[in-house]
Amino acid sequence: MADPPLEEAIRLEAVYKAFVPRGRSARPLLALEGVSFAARPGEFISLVGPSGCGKSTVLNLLAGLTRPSAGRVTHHGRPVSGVNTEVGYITQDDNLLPWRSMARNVEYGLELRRVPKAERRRRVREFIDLVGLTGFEDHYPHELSGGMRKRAGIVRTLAYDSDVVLMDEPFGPLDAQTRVILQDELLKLWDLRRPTVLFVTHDLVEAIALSDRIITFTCRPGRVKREYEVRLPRPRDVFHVHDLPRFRELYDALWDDIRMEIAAT
Amino acid sequence: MTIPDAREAAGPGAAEVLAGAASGAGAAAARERLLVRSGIALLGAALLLLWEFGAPLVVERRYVSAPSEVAARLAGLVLDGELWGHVGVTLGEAGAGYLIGIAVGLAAALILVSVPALDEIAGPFLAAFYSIPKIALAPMFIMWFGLGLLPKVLLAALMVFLIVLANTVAGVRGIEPGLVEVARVMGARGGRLVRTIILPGAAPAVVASIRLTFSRAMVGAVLGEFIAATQGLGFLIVRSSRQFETATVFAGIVVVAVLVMLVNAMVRAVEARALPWCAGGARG
Ligand SMILES: Nc1ncnc2c1ncn2[C@@H]1O[C@H](COP(=O)(O)OP(=O)(O)OP(=O)(O)O)[C@@H](O)[C@H]1O
Ligand SMILES: [Mg+2]
Repeated sequence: MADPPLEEAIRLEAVYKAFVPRGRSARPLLALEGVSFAARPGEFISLVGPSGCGKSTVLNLLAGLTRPSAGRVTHHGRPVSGVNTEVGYITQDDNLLPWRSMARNVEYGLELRRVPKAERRRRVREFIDLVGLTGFEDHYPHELSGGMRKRAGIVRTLAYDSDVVLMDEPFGPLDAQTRVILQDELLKLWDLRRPTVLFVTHDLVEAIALSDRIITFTCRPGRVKREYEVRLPRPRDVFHVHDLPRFRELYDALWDDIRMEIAAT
Repeated sequence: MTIPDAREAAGPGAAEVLAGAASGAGAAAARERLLVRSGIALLGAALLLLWEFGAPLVVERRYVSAPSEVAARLAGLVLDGELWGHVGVTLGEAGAGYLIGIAVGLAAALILVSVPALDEIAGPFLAAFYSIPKIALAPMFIMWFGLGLLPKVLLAALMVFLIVLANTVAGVRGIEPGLVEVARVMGARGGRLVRTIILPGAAPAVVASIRLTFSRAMVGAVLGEFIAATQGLGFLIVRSSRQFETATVFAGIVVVAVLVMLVNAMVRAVEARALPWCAGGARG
Protein backbone atom coordinates (compact mmCIF):
# COMPACT_ATOMS: atom_id res chain seq x y z
CA MET A 1 0.00 0.00 0.00
CA ALA A 2 1.46 3.38 -0.99
CA ASP A 3 1.41 6.20 1.49
CA PRO A 4 -1.27 8.83 0.90
CA PRO A 5 0.27 11.56 -1.29
CA LEU A 6 2.12 13.88 1.03
CA GLU A 7 2.67 17.49 0.33
CA GLU A 8 5.80 17.73 -1.81
CA ALA A 9 8.26 20.57 -2.07
CA ILE A 10 9.88 19.37 -5.27
CA ARG A 11 9.65 16.42 -7.61
CA LEU A 12 11.54 15.10 -10.61
CA GLU A 13 9.63 12.57 -12.72
CA ALA A 14 11.54 10.47 -15.27
CA VAL A 15 13.72 13.43 -16.14
CA TYR A 16 16.12 13.17 -19.09
CA LYS A 17 18.57 15.85 -20.05
CA ALA A 18 20.62 15.83 -23.25
CA PHE A 19 23.19 18.49 -24.09
CA VAL A 20 24.06 19.29 -27.68
CA PRO A 21 27.54 20.74 -27.59
CA ARG A 22 28.49 23.49 -30.01
CA GLY A 23 30.52 22.44 -33.02
CA ARG A 24 29.43 20.27 -35.92
CA SER A 25 31.29 17.07 -35.15
CA ALA A 26 30.22 16.93 -31.50
CA ARG A 27 27.59 14.32 -30.61
CA PRO A 28 24.78 15.04 -28.15
CA LEU A 29 25.53 13.93 -24.62
CA LEU A 30 23.04 12.37 -22.25
CA ALA A 31 23.59 13.86 -18.79
CA LEU A 32 20.49 12.51 -16.98
CA GLU A 33 18.55 9.36 -17.76
CA GLY A 34 15.15 8.88 -16.14
CA VAL A 35 15.86 10.60 -12.82
CA SER A 36 12.95 10.53 -10.37
CA PHE A 37 12.82 11.62 -6.76
CA ALA A 38 10.85 13.95 -4.54
CA ALA A 39 11.51 15.94 -1.38
CA ARG A 40 9.14 16.57 1.49
CA PRO A 41 8.91 20.11 2.85
CA GLY A 42 11.70 20.73 5.32
CA GLU A 43 13.70 17.71 4.26
CA PHE A 44 17.49 17.96 3.94
CA ILE A 45 18.64 15.79 1.03
CA SER A 46 22.18 15.23 -0.20
CA LEU A 47 23.00 14.23 -3.77
CA VAL A 48 26.18 12.20 -4.09
CA GLY A 49 27.77 10.78 -7.22
CA PRO A 50 30.81 10.74 -9.48
CA SER A 51 31.98 13.94 -11.13
CA GLY A 52 30.02 14.70 -14.30
CA CYS A 53 27.01 12.55 -13.36
CA GLY A 54 24.61 15.49 -13.59
CA LYS A 55 24.20 16.73 -10.01
CA SER A 56 24.59 20.39 -10.94
CA THR A 57 22.26 19.76 -13.87
CA VAL A 58 19.54 18.59 -11.45
CA LEU A 59 19.86 21.84 -9.49
CA ASN A 60 19.85 23.92 -12.70
CA LEU A 61 16.63 22.19 -13.74
CA LEU A 62 14.98 23.04 -10.42
CA ALA A 63 16.18 26.64 -10.68
CA GLY A 64 14.70 26.78 -14.17
CA LEU A 65 18.03 27.74 -15.73
CA THR A 66 17.71 24.80 -18.12
CA ARG A 67 14.77 22.67 -19.28
CA PRO A 68 14.44 18.90 -19.18
CA SER A 69 14.68 17.12 -22.55
CA ALA A 70 11.95 14.79 -21.29
CA GLY A 71 10.10 14.31 -18.01
CA ARG A 72 8.65 16.70 -15.46
CA VAL A 73 10.20 18.97 -12.87
CA THR A 74 7.74 20.40 -10.36
CA HIS A 75 7.93 22.79 -7.43
CA HIS A 76 4.93 22.54 -5.08
CA GLY A 77 3.17 20.58 -7.77
CA ARG A 78 3.59 23.26 -10.44
CA PRO A 79 5.92 22.57 -13.39
CA VAL A 80 9.03 24.74 -13.38
CA SER A 81 8.91 26.89 -16.50
CA GLY A 82 11.40 29.68 -16.89
CA VAL A 83 13.70 30.92 -14.17
CA ASN A 84 12.36 29.77 -10.79
CA THR A 85 12.75 32.77 -8.50
CA GLU A 86 11.10 30.90 -5.64
CA VAL A 87 14.12 28.74 -4.89
CA GLY A 88 17.38 29.91 -3.35
CA TYR A 89 20.42 28.74 -5.29
CA ILE A 90 23.91 28.64 -3.85
CA THR A 91 26.03 27.75 -6.86
CA GLN A 92 29.28 25.83 -7.11
CA ASP A 93 31.16 29.16 -7.54
CA ASP A 94 30.19 31.68 -4.90
CA ASN A 95 29.10 34.22 -7.53
CA LEU A 96 29.19 37.17 -5.16
CA LEU A 97 28.84 40.44 -7.05
CA PRO A 98 32.38 41.88 -7.15
CA TRP A 99 31.07 45.46 -7.26
CA ARG A 100 29.07 45.20 -4.05
CA SER A 101 30.43 45.10 -0.53
CA MET A 102 29.75 41.96 1.49
CA ALA A 103 26.74 43.50 3.27
CA ARG A 104 25.32 44.87 0.01
CA ASN A 105 25.67 41.37 -1.48
CA VAL A 106 23.69 39.89 1.39
CA GLU A 107 21.12 42.65 0.88
CA TYR A 108 20.71 42.01 -2.86
CA GLY A 109 17.95 39.38 -2.75
CA LEU A 110 15.95 41.44 -0.25
CA GLU A 111 16.34 44.48 -2.48
CA LEU A 112 14.99 42.54 -5.46
CA ARG A 113 12.05 41.50 -3.32
CA ARG A 114 11.43 45.15 -2.44
CA VAL A 115 11.75 44.59 1.29
CA PRO A 116 11.66 48.07 2.94
CA LYS A 117 15.07 49.51 3.68
CA ALA A 118 14.92 49.44 7.48
CA GLU A 119 13.73 45.83 7.55
CA ARG A 120 16.41 44.95 4.97
CA ARG A 121 19.20 46.45 7.05
CA ARG A 122 17.96 44.65 10.14
CA ARG A 123 17.84 41.24 8.43
CA VAL A 124 21.26 41.75 6.85
CA ARG A 125 22.80 42.67 10.20
CA GLU A 126 21.18 39.68 11.87
CA PHE A 127 22.38 37.15 9.27
CA ILE A 128 25.88 38.59 9.06
CA ASP A 129 26.09 38.28 12.80
CA LEU A 130 24.86 34.66 12.71
CA VAL A 131 27.88 33.61 10.63
CA GLY A 132 30.36 35.82 12.45
CA LEU A 133 31.07 38.22 9.60
CA THR A 134 30.34 41.35 11.64
CA GLY A 135 33.09 43.91 11.02
CA PHE A 136 33.54 42.88 7.37
CA GLU A 137 30.35 44.50 6.05
CA ASP A 138 32.18 47.01 3.87
CA HIS A 139 34.74 44.59 2.44
CA TYR A 140 34.47 43.73 -1.24
CA PRO A 141 34.44 40.00 -2.08
CA HIS A 142 38.09 40.05 -3.22
CA GLU A 143 39.01 41.29 0.25
CA LEU A 144 37.43 38.28 2.01
CA SER A 145 38.89 34.82 2.68
CA GLY A 146 37.47 31.77 0.92
CA GLY A 147 35.49 30.72 3.99
CA MET A 148 34.11 34.23 4.45
CA ARG A 149 32.96 34.33 0.84
CA LYS A 150 31.15 31.00 1.28
CA ARG A 151 29.46 32.27 4.43
CA ALA A 152 28.42 35.47 2.67
CA GLY A 153 27.05 33.48 -0.29
CA ILE A 154 25.03 31.23 2.01
CA VAL A 155 23.46 33.99 4.10
CA ARG A 156 22.78 36.03 0.95
CA THR A 157 20.49 33.22 -0.15
CA LEU A 158 19.04 32.28 3.24
CA ALA A 159 18.29 35.93 4.11
CA TYR A 160 15.36 36.06 1.71
CA ASP A 161 13.68 32.96 3.05
CA SER A 162 13.00 30.66 0.10
CA ASP A 163 11.26 27.45 1.11
CA VAL A 164 13.58 25.43 -1.15
CA VAL A 165 17.34 25.96 -1.10
CA LEU A 166 19.68 24.37 -3.66
CA MET A 167 23.32 24.12 -2.61
CA ASP A 168 26.02 22.95 -5.02
CA GLU A 169 29.16 21.82 -3.17
CA PRO A 170 29.07 25.00 -1.09
CA PHE A 171 32.10 23.94 0.96
CA GLY A 172 33.98 22.34 -1.93
CA PRO A 173 37.29 24.18 -1.94
CA LEU A 174 37.60 24.72 1.81
CA ASP A 175 40.03 23.07 4.24
CA ALA A 176 38.76 20.31 6.53
CA GLN A 177 38.49 22.42 9.71
CA THR A 178 36.66 25.31 8.07
CA ARG A 179 34.30 22.82 6.42
CA VAL A 180 33.19 21.28 9.69
CA ILE A 181 32.68 24.68 11.28
CA LEU A 182 30.59 25.82 8.31
CA GLN A 183 28.58 22.57 8.39
CA ASP A 184 27.74 23.31 12.01
CA GLU A 185 26.73 26.87 11.14
CA LEU A 186 24.66 25.67 8.21
CA LEU A 187 22.67 23.25 10.37
CA LYS A 188 21.96 26.03 12.85
CA LEU A 189 20.82 28.36 10.07
CA TRP A 190 18.70 25.62 8.52
CA ASP A 191 17.07 24.95 11.86
CA LEU A 192 15.74 28.54 12.05
CA ARG A 193 13.21 28.03 9.22
CA ARG A 194 13.76 24.45 8.07
CA PRO A 195 13.62 25.02 4.32
CA THR A 196 13.83 22.02 2.00
CA VAL A 197 17.51 21.64 1.09
CA LEU A 198 19.05 19.85 -1.88
CA PHE A 199 22.73 19.64 -1.10
CA VAL A 200 25.31 18.39 -3.61
CA THR A 201 28.56 17.11 -2.16
CA HIS A 202 31.45 14.75 -2.83
CA ASP A 203 32.09 14.34 0.86
CA LEU A 204 30.27 11.31 2.32
CA VAL A 205 30.94 12.38 5.91
CA GLU A 206 29.36 15.74 5.17
CA ALA A 207 26.36 14.11 3.48
CA ILE A 208 25.71 11.89 6.50
CA ALA A 209 26.30 14.62 9.06
CA LEU A 210 23.85 17.05 7.46
CA SER A 211 21.10 15.10 5.71
CA ASP A 212 17.85 13.32 6.41
CA ARG A 213 18.22 11.38 3.17
CA ILE A 214 21.09 10.71 0.75
CA ILE A 215 20.52 9.96 -2.92
CA THR A 216 23.42 8.38 -4.83
CA PHE A 217 23.77 8.77 -8.59
CA THR A 218 25.33 6.46 -11.15
CA CYS A 219 28.09 7.68 -13.44
CA ARG A 220 27.00 9.42 -16.65
CA PRO A 221 24.29 9.23 -17.80
CA GLY A 222 23.15 10.01 -14.28
CA ARG A 223 20.42 7.81 -12.80
CA VAL A 224 19.30 7.48 -9.20
CA LYS A 225 21.20 4.51 -7.84
CA ARG A 226 19.93 4.25 -4.25
CA GLU A 227 18.36 6.28 -1.50
CA TYR A 228 19.48 6.09 2.13
CA GLU A 229 17.50 7.31 5.13
CA VAL A 230 20.11 8.67 7.51
CA ARG A 231 18.05 8.28 10.70
CA LEU A 232 20.45 10.08 13.02
CA PRO A 233 18.81 12.17 15.75
CA ARG A 234 18.71 15.96 15.52
CA PRO A 235 20.06 18.35 16.58
CA ARG A 236 23.31 16.86 15.34
CA ASP A 237 26.82 17.39 16.57
CA VAL A 238 28.82 17.53 13.33
CA PHE A 239 32.06 17.41 15.29
CA HIS A 240 31.28 13.97 16.70
CA VAL A 241 28.90 12.17 14.33
CA HIS A 242 31.75 9.86 13.31
CA ASP A 243 31.59 8.15 16.68
CA LEU A 244 28.06 6.81 16.19
CA PRO A 245 27.67 3.19 15.05
CA ARG A 246 24.95 4.19 12.57
CA PHE A 247 27.48 6.53 10.95
CA ARG A 248 30.00 3.72 10.22
CA GLU A 249 27.30 1.51 8.81
CA LEU A 250 26.02 4.22 6.43
CA TYR A 251 29.47 5.34 5.46
CA ASP A 252 30.52 1.84 4.42
CA ALA A 253 27.34 1.27 2.39
CA LEU A 254 27.69 4.65 0.63
CA TRP A 255 31.35 4.13 -0.07
CA ASP A 256 30.69 0.70 -1.68
CA ASP A 257 28.07 2.34 -3.88
CA ILE A 258 30.28 5.20 -4.97
CA ARG A 259 33.38 3.06 -5.42
CA MET A 260 31.56 0.88 -7.94
CA GLU A 261 30.48 3.93 -9.91
CA ILE A 262 33.92 5.50 -9.89
CA ALA A 263 35.40 2.20 -11.05
CA ALA A 264 32.85 2.19 -13.89
CA THR A 265 33.95 5.59 -15.23
CA MET B 1 70.75 22.67 28.90
CA THR B 2 67.18 23.77 28.41
CA ILE B 3 65.49 24.74 25.25
CA PRO B 4 63.57 27.95 25.86
CA ASP B 5 59.87 27.52 25.46
CA ALA B 6 58.89 29.24 22.23
CA ARG B 7 55.54 30.17 23.74
CA GLU B 8 57.29 32.49 26.14
CA ALA B 9 59.47 34.21 23.55
CA ALA B 10 58.75 37.89 23.82
CA GLY B 11 57.29 39.33 20.62
CA PRO B 12 55.90 42.68 19.71
CA GLY B 13 52.20 43.21 20.36
CA ALA B 14 49.69 42.95 17.53
CA ALA B 15 49.11 46.70 17.55
CA GLU B 16 52.82 47.32 17.04
CA VAL B 17 52.97 44.86 14.14
CA LEU B 18 49.99 46.51 12.48
CA ALA B 19 51.48 49.98 12.95
CA GLY B 20 54.81 48.70 11.65
CA ALA B 21 53.19 47.16 8.58
CA ALA B 22 51.37 50.40 7.83
CA SER B 23 54.44 52.59 8.21
CA GLY B 24 56.68 50.02 6.50
CA ALA B 25 54.36 49.86 3.50
CA GLY B 26 54.23 53.66 3.53
CA ALA B 27 58.02 54.01 3.65
CA ALA B 28 58.57 51.41 0.92
CA ALA B 29 56.02 53.13 -1.27
CA ALA B 30 57.63 56.52 -0.61
CA ARG B 31 61.09 55.16 -1.56
CA GLU B 32 59.71 53.70 -4.76
CA ARG B 33 57.91 56.93 -5.63
CA LEU B 34 61.14 58.88 -5.14
CA LEU B 35 63.07 56.45 -7.37
CA VAL B 36 60.48 56.61 -10.13
CA ARG B 37 60.18 60.39 -9.99
CA SER B 38 63.90 61.04 -10.10
CA GLY B 39 64.19 58.52 -12.95
CA ILE B 40 61.55 60.39 -14.92
CA ALA B 41 63.26 63.74 -14.27
CA LEU B 42 66.67 62.41 -15.32
CA LEU B 43 65.46 60.71 -18.48
CA GLY B 44 63.45 63.81 -19.42
CA ALA B 45 66.45 66.08 -18.90
CA ALA B 46 68.68 63.73 -20.93
CA LEU B 47 66.24 63.71 -23.85
CA LEU B 48 65.93 67.52 -23.81
CA LEU B 49 69.73 67.93 -23.74
CA LEU B 50 70.11 65.47 -26.61
CA TRP B 51 67.53 67.41 -28.63
CA GLU B 52 69.09 70.78 -27.78
CA PHE B 53 72.73 69.87 -28.44
CA GLY B 54 72.77 66.50 -30.24
CA ALA B 55 70.10 66.94 -32.91
CA PRO B 56 71.72 69.97 -34.66
CA LEU B 57 74.80 67.81 -35.34
CA VAL B 58 72.66 65.48 -37.52
CA VAL B 59 69.86 67.63 -38.97
CA GLU B 60 69.72 71.28 -39.82
CA ARG B 61 68.54 73.30 -36.82
CA ARG B 62 65.65 75.03 -38.53
CA TYR B 63 63.95 71.67 -39.23
CA VAL B 64 64.04 70.39 -35.66
CA SER B 65 64.13 73.55 -33.57
CA ALA B 66 65.34 73.16 -29.97
CA PRO B 67 63.72 72.90 -26.53
CA SER B 68 64.85 76.39 -25.62
CA GLU B 69 63.26 77.85 -28.77
CA VAL B 70 60.08 75.82 -28.27
CA ALA B 71 59.83 77.01 -24.67
CA ALA B 72 60.33 80.61 -25.74
CA ARG B 73 57.70 80.27 -28.47
CA LEU B 74 55.27 78.65 -26.04
CA ALA B 75 55.78 81.50 -23.60
CA GLY B 76 55.19 83.95 -26.45
CA LEU B 77 51.95 82.24 -27.46
CA VAL B 78 50.72 82.27 -23.87
CA LEU B 79 51.69 85.88 -23.26
CA ASP B 80 50.17 87.37 -26.40
CA GLY B 81 47.02 85.35 -25.69
CA GLU B 82 46.96 83.61 -29.06
CA LEU B 83 47.23 80.14 -27.53
CA TRP B 84 43.97 80.27 -25.53
CA GLY B 85 41.82 80.78 -28.59
CA HIS B 86 43.29 77.69 -30.24
CA VAL B 87 43.10 75.61 -27.08
CA GLY B 88 39.47 76.62 -26.53
CA VAL B 89 38.38 75.70 -30.05
CA THR B 90 40.18 72.33 -30.12
CA LEU B 91 39.13 71.35 -26.59
CA GLY B 92 35.54 72.31 -27.40
CA GLU B 93 35.49 70.19 -30.55
CA ALA B 94 37.24 67.23 -28.95
CA GLY B 95 35.19 67.45 -25.74
CA ALA B 96 31.84 67.63 -27.54
CA GLY B 97 32.85 64.79 -29.87
CA TYR B 98 34.09 62.77 -26.89
CA LEU B 99 30.79 63.06 -25.02
CA ILE B 100 28.69 62.37 -28.11
CA GLY B 101 30.87 59.37 -29.04
CA ILE B 102 30.60 57.90 -25.54
CA ALA B 103 26.83 58.36 -25.31
CA VAL B 104 26.10 56.97 -28.77
CA GLY B 105 28.63 54.15 -28.33
CA LEU B 106 27.06 53.05 -25.01
CA ALA B 107 23.51 53.23 -26.35
CA ALA B 108 24.40 51.32 -29.52
CA ALA B 109 26.20 48.65 -27.51
CA LEU B 110 23.22 48.14 -25.19
CA ILE B 111 20.94 47.74 -28.20
CA LEU B 112 23.37 45.31 -29.86
CA VAL B 113 23.61 43.04 -26.82
CA SER B 114 19.92 43.13 -25.93
CA VAL B 115 18.61 41.98 -29.32
CA PRO B 116 19.57 38.33 -29.93
CA ALA B 117 22.10 37.79 -32.74
CA LEU B 118 22.07 41.50 -33.62
CA ASP B 119 25.73 41.98 -32.73
CA GLU B 120 26.67 39.00 -34.88
CA ILE B 121 24.69 40.43 -37.79
CA ALA B 122 26.23 43.87 -37.34
CA GLY B 123 29.69 42.41 -36.71
CA PRO B 124 31.10 42.30 -40.27
CA PHE B 125 29.86 45.82 -41.04
CA LEU B 126 31.37 47.24 -37.87
CA ALA B 127 34.64 45.42 -38.60
CA ALA B 128 34.74 46.90 -42.11
CA PHE B 129 33.93 50.36 -40.78
CA TYR B 130 36.52 49.90 -38.07
CA SER B 131 39.26 49.05 -40.54
CA ILE B 132 38.81 52.25 -42.58
CA PRO B 133 41.58 54.70 -41.65
CA LYS B 134 39.55 57.60 -40.32
CA ILE B 135 42.02 60.02 -41.93
CA ALA B 136 40.49 59.01 -45.25
CA LEU B 137 37.10 60.26 -44.06
CA ALA B 138 38.28 63.66 -42.89
CA PRO B 139 38.16 65.45 -46.30
CA MET B 140 34.64 64.09 -46.89
CA PHE B 141 33.45 65.28 -43.52
CA ILE B 142 34.66 68.78 -44.40
CA MET B 143 32.85 68.51 -47.73
CA TRP B 144 29.62 67.30 -46.16
CA PHE B 145 29.50 69.37 -43.01
CA GLY B 146 31.23 72.60 -43.99
CA LEU B 147 34.17 74.50 -42.63
CA GLY B 148 32.87 75.15 -39.11
CA LEU B 149 33.14 73.16 -35.90
CA LEU B 150 30.66 70.45 -36.88
CA PRO B 151 32.89 68.22 -39.04
CA LYS B 152 35.60 68.25 -36.36
CA VAL B 153 33.13 67.35 -33.60
CA LEU B 154 31.77 64.52 -35.72
CA LEU B 155 35.24 63.20 -36.57
CA ALA B 156 36.14 63.18 -32.87
CA ALA B 157 32.83 61.47 -32.03
CA LEU B 158 33.38 58.82 -34.68
CA MET B 159 36.85 57.98 -33.38
CA VAL B 160 35.45 57.56 -29.86
CA PHE B 161 32.18 55.85 -30.80
CA LEU B 162 33.72 52.77 -32.40
CA ILE B 163 36.08 52.06 -29.51
CA VAL B 164 33.43 52.57 -26.82
CA LEU B 165 30.98 50.40 -28.77
CA ALA B 166 33.45 47.53 -29.21
CA ASN B 167 34.61 47.64 -25.59
CA THR B 168 31.11 47.85 -24.13
CA VAL B 169 29.94 44.85 -26.16
CA ALA B 170 33.05 42.93 -25.10
CA GLY B 171 32.52 44.02 -21.48
CA VAL B 172 28.94 42.76 -21.43
CA ARG B 173 29.89 39.50 -23.16
CA GLY B 174 32.68 39.05 -20.63
CA ILE B 175 30.41 39.11 -17.57
CA GLU B 176 30.63 35.81 -15.70
CA PRO B 177 27.49 33.91 -16.85
CA GLY B 178 27.10 32.46 -13.34
CA LEU B 179 26.60 35.97 -11.93
CA VAL B 180 23.77 36.66 -14.34
CA GLU B 181 22.13 33.29 -13.65
CA VAL B 182 22.30 33.67 -9.88
CA ALA B 183 20.90 37.19 -10.12
CA ARG B 184 18.01 35.95 -12.27
CA VAL B 185 17.20 33.15 -9.83
CA MET B 186 17.26 35.77 -7.08
CA GLY B 187 14.62 37.64 -9.04
CA ALA B 188 16.47 40.22 -11.13
CA ARG B 189 15.16 40.92 -14.62
CA GLY B 190 14.59 43.70 -17.13
CA GLY B 191 15.81 47.11 -16.08
CA ARG B 192 16.98 45.95 -12.68
CA LEU B 193 19.11 43.20 -14.20
CA VAL B 194 20.68 45.80 -16.50
CA ARG B 195 21.22 48.29 -13.68
CA THR B 196 22.49 45.93 -10.99
CA ILE B 197 24.40 43.34 -13.05
CA ILE B 198 25.00 44.23 -16.71
CA LEU B 199 26.16 47.83 -16.28
CA PRO B 200 28.45 47.28 -13.26
CA GLY B 201 29.73 44.05 -14.80
CA ALA B 202 30.73 45.79 -18.01
CA ALA B 203 31.90 48.95 -16.23
CA PRO B 204 35.63 48.19 -15.94
CA ALA B 205 35.98 47.58 -19.70
CA VAL B 206 33.75 50.54 -20.53
CA VAL B 207 35.53 52.95 -18.22
CA ALA B 208 38.96 51.87 -19.46
CA SER B 209 37.84 52.53 -23.03
CA ILE B 210 36.39 55.90 -22.02
CA ARG B 211 39.70 56.85 -20.40
CA LEU B 212 41.78 55.81 -23.40
CA THR B 213 39.63 57.43 -26.06
CA PHE B 214 40.09 61.10 -25.16
CA SER B 215 43.37 61.05 -27.08
CA ARG B 216 41.44 59.75 -30.10
CA ALA B 217 38.91 62.55 -29.77
CA MET B 218 41.83 64.99 -29.90
CA VAL B 219 43.20 63.21 -32.99
CA GLY B 220 39.79 63.58 -34.67
CA ALA B 221 39.54 67.28 -33.87
CA VAL B 222 43.13 68.10 -34.85
CA LEU B 223 42.79 66.05 -38.04
CA GLY B 224 39.73 68.04 -39.06
CA GLU B 225 41.58 71.29 -38.36
CA PHE B 226 44.51 70.16 -40.52
CA ILE B 227 42.25 70.08 -43.53
CA ALA B 228 40.23 73.23 -43.18
CA ALA B 229 40.04 75.57 -40.21
CA THR B 230 40.70 79.13 -39.17
CA GLN B 231 41.46 78.37 -35.53
CA GLY B 232 42.48 75.49 -33.28
CA LEU B 233 45.70 73.70 -32.40
CA GLY B 234 45.61 71.64 -35.62
CA PHE B 235 45.30 74.85 -37.62
CA LEU B 236 48.19 76.39 -35.65
CA ILE B 237 50.41 73.38 -36.34
CA VAL B 238 49.62 73.20 -40.06
CA ARG B 239 49.98 76.92 -40.65
CA SER B 240 53.30 77.05 -38.82
CA SER B 241 54.70 74.06 -40.64
CA ARG B 242 53.84 75.65 -43.99
CA GLN B 243 55.78 78.70 -42.88
CA PHE B 244 58.69 76.59 -41.53
CA GLU B 245 58.09 77.89 -37.99
CA THR B 246 59.29 74.64 -36.48
CA ALA B 247 59.29 75.93 -32.90
CA THR B 248 55.60 76.80 -33.16
CA VAL B 249 54.79 73.36 -34.59
CA PHE B 250 56.44 71.73 -31.60
CA ALA B 251 54.77 74.14 -29.20
CA GLY B 252 51.40 73.07 -30.62
CA ILE B 253 52.29 69.39 -30.31
CA VAL B 254 53.36 69.87 -26.69
CA VAL B 255 50.08 71.60 -25.85
CA VAL B 256 48.04 68.76 -27.43
CA ALA B 257 49.98 66.16 -25.44
CA VAL B 258 49.59 68.09 -22.18
CA LEU B 259 45.83 68.49 -22.70
CA VAL B 260 45.40 64.75 -23.35
CA MET B 261 47.38 63.85 -20.25
CA LEU B 262 45.44 66.31 -18.08
CA VAL B 263 42.08 64.92 -19.19
CA ASN B 264 43.35 61.34 -18.71
CA ALA B 265 44.38 62.14 -15.15
CA MET B 266 40.94 63.65 -14.47
CA VAL B 267 39.11 60.60 -15.87
CA ARG B 268 41.38 58.30 -13.88
CA ALA B 269 40.53 60.13 -10.66
CA VAL B 270 36.80 59.82 -11.38
CA GLU B 271 37.29 56.13 -12.26
CA ALA B 272 39.01 55.31 -8.96
CA ARG B 273 36.14 56.92 -7.12
CA ALA B 274 33.38 55.32 -9.17
CA LEU B 275 34.75 51.76 -9.28
CA PRO B 276 36.37 51.12 -5.90
CA TRP B 277 36.06 47.34 -6.29
CA CYS B 278 38.57 47.14 -9.12
CA ALA B 279 41.07 49.50 -7.53
CA GLY B 280 44.42 47.81 -6.89
CA GLY B 281 43.43 46.53 -3.42
CA ALA B 282 45.21 46.90 -0.11
CA ARG B 283 48.95 47.38 0.26
CA GLY B 284 50.70 44.78 2.33
N1 LIG C 1 25.67 23.70 -20.58
C1 LIG C 1 26.18 22.48 -20.90
N2 LIG C 1 26.47 22.20 -22.19
C2 LIG C 1 26.96 20.99 -22.52
N3 LIG C 1 27.20 20.01 -21.65
C3 LIG C 1 26.93 20.24 -20.35
C4 LIG C 1 26.41 21.49 -19.91
N4 LIG C 1 26.25 21.43 -18.57
C5 LIG C 1 26.66 20.20 -18.19
N5 LIG C 1 27.06 19.47 -19.26
C6 LIG C 1 27.54 18.10 -19.23
O1 LIG C 1 26.63 17.33 -18.51
C7 LIG C 1 27.30 16.42 -17.65
C8 LIG C 1 26.85 16.63 -16.22
O2 LIG C 1 27.31 17.87 -15.76
P1 LIG C 1 27.09 18.40 -14.28
O3 LIG C 1 27.74 19.71 -14.18
O4 LIG C 1 25.65 18.33 -13.95
O5 LIG C 1 27.89 17.31 -13.44
P2 LIG C 1 28.16 17.26 -11.87
O6 LIG C 1 27.60 15.98 -11.39
O7 LIG C 1 27.70 18.51 -11.23
O8 LIG C 1 29.75 17.17 -11.83
P3 LIG C 1 30.76 17.76 -10.72
O9 LIG C 1 30.63 16.87 -9.54
O10 LIG C 1 32.09 17.63 -11.38
O11 LIG C 1 30.37 19.18 -10.46
C9 LIG C 1 28.78 16.66 -17.84
O12 LIG C 1 29.29 15.68 -18.68
C10 LIG C 1 28.86 17.99 -18.52
O13 LIG C 1 29.93 17.99 -19.44
MG1 LIG D 1 28.64 20.13 -10.36
